[in-house]
Amino acid sequence: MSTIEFAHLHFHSPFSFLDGAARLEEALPMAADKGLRALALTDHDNVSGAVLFQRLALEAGVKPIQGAEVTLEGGRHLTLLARGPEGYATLCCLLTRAHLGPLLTRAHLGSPRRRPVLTWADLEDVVGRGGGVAGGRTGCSGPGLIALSGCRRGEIPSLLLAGRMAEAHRAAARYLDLFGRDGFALEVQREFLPGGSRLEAGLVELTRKLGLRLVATNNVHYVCKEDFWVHDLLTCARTLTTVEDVHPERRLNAENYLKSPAAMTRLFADLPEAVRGAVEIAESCSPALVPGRRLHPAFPLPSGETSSAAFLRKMTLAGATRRYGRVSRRVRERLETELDVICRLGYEDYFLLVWDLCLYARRRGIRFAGRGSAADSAVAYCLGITNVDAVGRGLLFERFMSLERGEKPDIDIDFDARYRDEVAAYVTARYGGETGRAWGGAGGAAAGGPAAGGDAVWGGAGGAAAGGPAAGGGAAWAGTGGAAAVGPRVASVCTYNTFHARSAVRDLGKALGLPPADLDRLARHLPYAGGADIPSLLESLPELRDSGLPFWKFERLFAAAAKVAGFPRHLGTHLGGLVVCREPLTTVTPLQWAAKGVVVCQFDKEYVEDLGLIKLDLLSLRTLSAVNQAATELGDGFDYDAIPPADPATMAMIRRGETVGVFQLESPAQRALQARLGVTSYEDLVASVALIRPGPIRGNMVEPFLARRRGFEPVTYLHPALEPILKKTYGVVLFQEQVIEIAVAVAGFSPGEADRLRRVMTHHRRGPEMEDIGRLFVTRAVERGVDEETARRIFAGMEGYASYGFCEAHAAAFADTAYRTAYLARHHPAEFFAALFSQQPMGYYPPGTLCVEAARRGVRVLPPDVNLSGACYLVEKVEGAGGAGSLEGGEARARTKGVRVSLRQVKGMQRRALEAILGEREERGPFSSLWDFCRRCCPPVPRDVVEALILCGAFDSLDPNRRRLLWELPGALSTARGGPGLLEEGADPAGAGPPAEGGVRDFTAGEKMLHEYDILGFSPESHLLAYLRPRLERSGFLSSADLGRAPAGRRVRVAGLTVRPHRPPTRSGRTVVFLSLEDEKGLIDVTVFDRVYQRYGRLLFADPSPPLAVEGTVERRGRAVTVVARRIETLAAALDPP
Amino acid sequence: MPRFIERPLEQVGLGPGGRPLFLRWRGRSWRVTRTADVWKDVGCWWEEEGEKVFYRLEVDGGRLFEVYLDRRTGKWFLYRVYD
Repeated sequence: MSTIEFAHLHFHSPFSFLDGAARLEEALPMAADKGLRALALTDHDNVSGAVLFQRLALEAGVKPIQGAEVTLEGGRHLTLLARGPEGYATLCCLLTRAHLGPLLTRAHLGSPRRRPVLTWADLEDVVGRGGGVAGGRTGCSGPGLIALSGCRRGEIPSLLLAGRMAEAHRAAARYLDLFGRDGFALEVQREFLPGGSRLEAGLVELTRKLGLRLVATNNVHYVCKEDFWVHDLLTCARTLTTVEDVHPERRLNAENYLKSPAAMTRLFADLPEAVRGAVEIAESCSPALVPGRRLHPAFPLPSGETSSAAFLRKMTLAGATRRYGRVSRRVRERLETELDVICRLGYEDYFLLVWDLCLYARRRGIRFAGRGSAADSAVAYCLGITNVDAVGRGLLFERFMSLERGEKPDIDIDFDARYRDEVAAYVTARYGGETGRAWGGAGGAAAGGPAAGGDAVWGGAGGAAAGGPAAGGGAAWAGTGGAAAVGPRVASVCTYNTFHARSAVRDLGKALGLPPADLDRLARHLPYAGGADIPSLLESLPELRDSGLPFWKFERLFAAAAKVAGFPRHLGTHLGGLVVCREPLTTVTPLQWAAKGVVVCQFDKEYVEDLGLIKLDLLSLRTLSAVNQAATELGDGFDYDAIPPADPATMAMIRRGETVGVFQLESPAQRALQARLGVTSYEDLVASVALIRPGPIRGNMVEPFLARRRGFEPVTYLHPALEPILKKTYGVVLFQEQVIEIAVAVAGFSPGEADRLRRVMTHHRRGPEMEDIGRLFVTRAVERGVDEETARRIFAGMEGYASYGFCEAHAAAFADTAYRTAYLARHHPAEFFAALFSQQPMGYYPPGTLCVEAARRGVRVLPPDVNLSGACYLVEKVEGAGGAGSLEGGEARARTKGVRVSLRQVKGMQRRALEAILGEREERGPFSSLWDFCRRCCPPVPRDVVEALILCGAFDSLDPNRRRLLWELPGALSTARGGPGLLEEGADPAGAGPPAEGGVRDFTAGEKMLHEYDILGFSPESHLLAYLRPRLERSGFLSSADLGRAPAGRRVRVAGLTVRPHRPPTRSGRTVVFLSLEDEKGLIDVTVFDRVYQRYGRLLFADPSPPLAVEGTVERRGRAVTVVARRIETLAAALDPP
Repeated sequence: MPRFIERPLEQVGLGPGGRPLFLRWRGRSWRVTRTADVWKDVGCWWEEEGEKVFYRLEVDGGRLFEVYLDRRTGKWFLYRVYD
C-alpha cells in the first residue's frame, strides 16, 4: 500500500528565472501541510534550486525529486526527473550540453547570449549510450532518468494540439525507444485551457496504443491561486510586455498552483491511472544529492613525493625558515598543531593548491594579499599565502579551522585586479582536467606547475624574471595532474541576482504599464533595500516622501515588489569564487554561460559547499593594481615590500586624518577617527580597521576604545583572566578571536565550542540559541570558580559585541595594505595619485575629490593633451607645481611633479579610438594641429570624442582657443575624409591644415570649467568653488581651509560639491546622514541629524546631486572638524535667493 | 464563421459539476448535446476583472455555442456562436 496519495512531478520555483513564483521556503511547508509526500523540482534548464529544495523538502518531510524542464530544438520542452544520484549526474551533463554544446572546447562554446538548447543527438548520445564518446568527454555516466512528455510546449502535446496525431505517435515511440518503458511517461495536465479536451484525448489514445504510463501533473508555477498575478507580472517582465499586451507565454488562468493531493485526485477522478502514474514514479525516485560528499581537488604531487600531507609539511617548514630564519619551538609547535588539524580534516591538497597559485602569482610578479580568517593560520603565513604573522600576533587558528567544527576553510586572496583573471586561468588550466587545459588560455601554458624557478617554496622575483612556472618543470608535474581528466573540473561560482526594491520597481512597474519617468524617479530615489520595505521607506525617507511621486498609483507595484523580494532574477558571476573539483564538475553541477562571458556552475557559494565542492576566492583588488602601477613608476629604487614600519611622517599624516586615497582609512568616519585616535603603531591601524564598522558604531564601542587608548579612562577588566586577552584592545572586546579566547579562558569551552558561540553571536543575535549558549557560558564559568554575576556581565559584554564581530586576522591583513598605501601617499603622492586616478573606479571618492587632494599635496593635475596623455595618468616633471599650505618631504618634492590626465578619462572614449590615437602618435610622432589629428585618427575616433577632446582642453597645447577649434572641426573632419573643407582658404600646403587665425572669441574660463566637469568629471586646473569663491566670501561662506581654524560651536556657512551622502546604521536606530562637501581646497565633513534630514533629505539624495550650501555648527573632536547641519539649500539658491 | 455576441443568457440549466445542460437565449431554448471544451480565463486581473469559465457547447442541430460564467457576478453570457 502506497503512502503517497499524489506527487507533483512538474514544479517551477523562482529559479525558473521570471517563470516561477513558488517560493521554496513557502512551498515546501505548504506542500507538507497539504499532505504531499513527494515533489519534483523542474525548473527551466537548470537545477540551481536543487540544494535549497532538497534541504527544505527533507525538513518538511517531503521526498525531493530533482529534475528540470529542458528546452529541446524548436523550443520544445521535456520534463526530466532524476531517479537518484546517477540520474542527477546525467541531468547535469545534459544541461551542460544544452548550455555549452557537446564538445566543451573554447572554440565550440558558442556565445554567452546563446539560449540553452538540447539537441536530440545529445539526448541520444548521453541517455542512449550512457555516455558514449562525447558523453565521455563531459564525464556523463548512465541515464537514471525519467522523461515526461512535458507541458503544451512539449513535442508530443504540441503535435496533438495541432491535430497531427500520426506525428505525435511517432514522436512518442521515439522517446519510448530512448528512455524505455520505465523511463518515459505521457504528462497530462488539466489546466482548463482551450483545446485541453482534445489534447487529453490524444494523450490517452497514445498511452493505449503504445502501452505508456500516463502521469497527472499541474505544471505548478506558484503556490496559491491568489499568486497568479505575481507570476503573470514576472512573465510580462520576461517577455518585455505589459499587462495590456497579448503574449503566447502569458497564462490564461490561475490553475497552475500547488493543488492538494485531494484536489488532484478529485480533478482526475475519471482518470485515476494518471494519478497512480505520478505516485509510481515518485516512489521509484530517491533524493539525488548525496550529503557529505567530498569532491575536493587532488593536488598533483611532484615526482618523488608520495603524500600530500608530507609535502605540505615539507613546504610549510621550508617556508617557516624563510619567514623566521630560525624556527623557534613555539612556531614549530604551532605549525605542527595546524598541520595536524589540516590533515585530519583532509584539506592538505586544498592548502597545496592555494600555495601553488600564490606561487604562480609571485613568480609572475602579480601582487596579492591573503585576507580573511586565513590570516589566523601560521601555515598560510609560512606558505606565503598571507602576510600576517599569526604566531607573532597570537592569532587563534581555531577561528579559521577546528576539528570540532570540521567546516571547510575559506581562503580569500586579493589579487592585482588586472591579473586576477590570469591567475584564475592558471587554476583552470592546471586543475581543470583536459577541458580545463583547453579553456585555460594563456594560463594553460603555465599548467606545468610551479617547480620551475629558483625558490620552490616562494618563487620570488627570480621566478618572475624567468617567465614564471611556464619556464619548465612541467614534466615533473604533468604526470599526476589529471591524467584521467574527463570533463571540466574548474568553473566560476555563480551568483543569483535577486529582486530588491529598485529592480522590482523597474521591472514590475514596466510590466504594469506605469509611466517610465515616474518609475525611473522612484527607482533612483530608493536605497538598496528589500522589495517589502518600500512602503516604510516612503514614510521614513524624506527624499522619497517629498518627491511628489503619485504613490497611490503604485500600490499594486509595491505589493508585487514584496511578493518577489529575493527571487532570483538571473545568474551572474561571483566576483572571485572558483570551484575546483576532484571529479568532472558536470556530474555535480551543470555549467553554463554567465553574462560576463565566463563559464559558471549553476550553484552559488553557499550551495557549492553543500554539494561537497570547495571554493577558492580569488578576488580583484584595484588598490593592489594602483600599488603596482605606483611601484613601477617609482622604478627600481623603490621596494613596496621593504617599506619601513611605523614611518614617523606617515603616522603623522594619518594622525592628521589626511588619508583620502589610503586603503581602508579614507572614509569620513575613518579620517575623523584617525584625527582623534593618535595612531602611533601598526596595532592602532589594525584596531582602526575593525572599529569603523556598523557593529562597533551601533554597539557604542568607538568612544570607550578611544577614551582608553588616549588615557582618558582607566583600562579595567571584569576578571583577571580577561587581561591577557583584551590588553591589546584596552579592555574592549574588538575582535572575533577575543570572543573565542574569553570563552575558553573564562568558561573552559573547547576551541570548537567557543567558535560556535562566536557564530551564534554573529548569526543569531537574539532568540533561543543565544539564550542557550549564554546559560552554558555562565554555568561553565561558575563551575570554574567565576562568580555568577561576573560571568553574566562578561557574557553581556560579548553579547553587546555580537553584531559587530570582526576578524582580527582580516583587520591585520587590511591594516598592512592600509599602512603601505599611506606611506605611498605621504612620500610619493604624484605616483600614488596617478595610479589611483588610473585605476578608477576604486576607493571611496570620485576623481574630482582625488584631484583636489592631489593638488593639496602639491601635485599639479595637468589637463589632458593629445600629445602628452596616455591611456593611464602619467607623472610629469613640472615647474612651480601648485599646492596649498606648508608641505614637507615627499609632498614638497611632489611640487616638482604633476599628473597628466589620461585620454581614457575623456567621456565617450572607446578602446579602439584610444588605441588609434596612441598608436598613431607612437608611429608618426606628435600631432601638429587639429587638422593633422583628424587626418590621422578620424576614423576611428568619432566626431563626438574629438569635440570632447577639444572642450576638455586636450588640444590647448596646439591652439588654446577651444571655440575656434570647434568651428574648425567640421572642415577638418571633412578634409580627413577626402571631402572639401569648409574653411579651405586657410588650408596648409598639404591641403589639410588649419585656417588662419580668425576672430573667434574663445569660451570664458567659467564655460571651459563647466565643459571639463561634463567631460572629465572634474576640472584639472580649476574648481567650481574656486570660481565662485569671491561671491561665497561676500556671503560669509568659509572654505575647507578656513574651517580648520574655526572654533567649536561657531555657526558657519560652508559650500561644496556633494560627496557620498550615506546613512550608516546607528545605535539609536535614528537616521544620521554623513556627507562631505568638496571645495577647491579639500573636504568639509558634514553631519545631518534626523530632524534636519527629515526637512532637507530631498536635497541630500537628489540625483544628480546639486552643489549644496550648509549652515551649521562647528564640532571639534580631537583634530577632527565636522559641521553639524542646521539648514541646507542648493548653492544656487543660497547665492541667488529668490 | 464565429459571431461575437457577448450578451447575457436568459437561462442556463446546469448539470453535474456545474456544466450547462440547456441554454435560453432570445426566447429560444437549446439543449446541450456535448461539451466540446472547457477553459478558464482570469481576464484583466489588474482591473479587478473576475475569472470566467468558458464552455464550448454543441447544441441541438449541431451548432456550436461558446458561453461563459462570470464567477464574480455569477451571470452567464453567450460569448460566440459558430454558424
